[in-house]
Amino acid sequence: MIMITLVRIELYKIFSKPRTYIGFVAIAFLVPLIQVALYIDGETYIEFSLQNLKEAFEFQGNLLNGFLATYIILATLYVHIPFLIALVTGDLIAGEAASGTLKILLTRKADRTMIVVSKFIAGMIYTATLIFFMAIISLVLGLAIMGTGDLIVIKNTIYVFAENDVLWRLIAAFCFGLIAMWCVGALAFMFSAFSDNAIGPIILTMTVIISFIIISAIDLSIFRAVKPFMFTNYMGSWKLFFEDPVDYNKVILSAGVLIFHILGFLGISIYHFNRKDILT
Amino acid sequence: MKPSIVNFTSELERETIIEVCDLHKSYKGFQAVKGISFKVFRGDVFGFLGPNGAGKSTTIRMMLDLIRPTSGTIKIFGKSVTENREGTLNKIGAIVEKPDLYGYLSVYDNLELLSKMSGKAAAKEKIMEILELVGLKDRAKSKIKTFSHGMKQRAGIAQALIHDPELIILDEPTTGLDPQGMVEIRDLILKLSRERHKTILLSSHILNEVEIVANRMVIINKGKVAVEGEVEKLLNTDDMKVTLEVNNINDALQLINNSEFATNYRDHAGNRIMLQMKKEQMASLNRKLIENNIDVIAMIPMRSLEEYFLNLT
Repeated sequence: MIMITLVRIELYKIFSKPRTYIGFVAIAFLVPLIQVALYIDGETYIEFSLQNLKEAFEFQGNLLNGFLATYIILATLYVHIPFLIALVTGDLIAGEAASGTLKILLTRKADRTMIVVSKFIAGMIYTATLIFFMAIISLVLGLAIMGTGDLIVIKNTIYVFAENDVLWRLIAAFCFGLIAMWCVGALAFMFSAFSDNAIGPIILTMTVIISFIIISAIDLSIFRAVKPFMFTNYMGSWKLFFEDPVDYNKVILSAGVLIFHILGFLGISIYHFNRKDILT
Repeated sequence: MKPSIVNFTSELERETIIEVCDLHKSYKGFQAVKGISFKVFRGDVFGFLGPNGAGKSTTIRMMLDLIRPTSGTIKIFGKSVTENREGTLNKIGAIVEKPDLYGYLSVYDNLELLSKMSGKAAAKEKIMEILELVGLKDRAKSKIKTFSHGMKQRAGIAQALIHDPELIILDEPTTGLDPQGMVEIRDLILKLSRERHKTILLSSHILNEVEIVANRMVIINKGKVAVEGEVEKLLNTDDMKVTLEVNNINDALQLINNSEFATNYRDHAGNRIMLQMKKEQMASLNRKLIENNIDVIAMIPMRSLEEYFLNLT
């Protein structure tokens, strides 16, 4: 019962802070911007993407549709959304330490583990809300502007998904994306437990993610050896839902690695916070 | 008028609320607290006095389980804080150094939220009652970030009271306040002691502040207890150092040396004479000087503890 109260309090605090809405404002600005740009100039984009294939295949129907727009948005923003997540989850403990309110919380009867876990849950709810908002705005606006149609995805091979086979894949991709973003949120949260200033955890989280993504992208044998151990390597596995057939073993493995990291980051946060001297 | 319980009951008969025993705290080789021990009894307004950096806030943070002692024990209401955190903290209200609350929320929302965290969601009437007590009822819906420092201090006291604790710990509650604000906080402390029968631990680096409100006190310096006891006994006026400033130093010295005040003389410099005397002797010395046409410009008494504390700070 006390845990539910604590989570509610944390959510109340999160949604009372102006910085919480930066992510929503950014998505509400960027997603329509991308969609309008695609609507205006999307044909050129598709022409360019399919120029080699058009010699061998004939494409018919509404290729520039809301599903494609949502897919492009997912592919573009999953690298940038972590910043918006870290902005809030990185502030959950460190922000309170910096403002001095942490000591007021800790002089109440709730124990430290409960406080950390309630903050963590609230942070994950915020993340889910942001991703849900992004999914809704992408799909609804995309379909409203560009309508439906088949989805063409070009990887090593070309996949054409029928119109009635796309929506569940996009929903599954967003759900997987949510796990990936929870992992980012958990990382920022862990840094937050170690820090007494609100900016450090955000910068540190972005530094880790960008560094890992760069290391993953460079195809050298030394980096290939460490790649499986970097959680960022599994963040892009939402794309597995746009293969046919979907390799569920890979999906489960990737989700498992990310969930393992989430629990690990939470465990470290609890362990450290329970031993932390509150000096601010 | 100080809390009078000390006059009626001996320490042995009184319930111990805080018992600090041989407390140590080290940070990376620096010893902030070096074996502090003291007791606070039910009904006390206990002055926790010391210069800045003496270890007061560190000790208070250990009492509240914000930091862990390197060694030693703290029992509050007879139990260890770390082992009985929930039960103990529920009976304590505290301000630690700055009265930091959520600036983006109103003082009303802050109190509501913090009362829920204490497991006792306060009703609107209760919140308004506390806000009236600290003089913030009219600003209940104003955000904390719009408050002056004095108002923030009062809001800090309000959050310490919202769950109706038996023990209130106030760490430097008058820091940064103007004289009027200091008086208001002192009055509030006395009100909480007299009318609501709270046990209060008041940390301060100002002796005068503690003297006005506390019945017992401990002075700590460099992490150690220097003095502990009842304020009235510690600040006794039987042995005062008096600095006398006169217009004619030679005549004044001659008069003092040829009178019953000769044994009180200690030193002189410029037009000032230092004497050691009782409080009641001051008036007759003043009268004698004036009768001999020596103008008394100033007569500044300083009690021995005051002098000692001044040397510390």
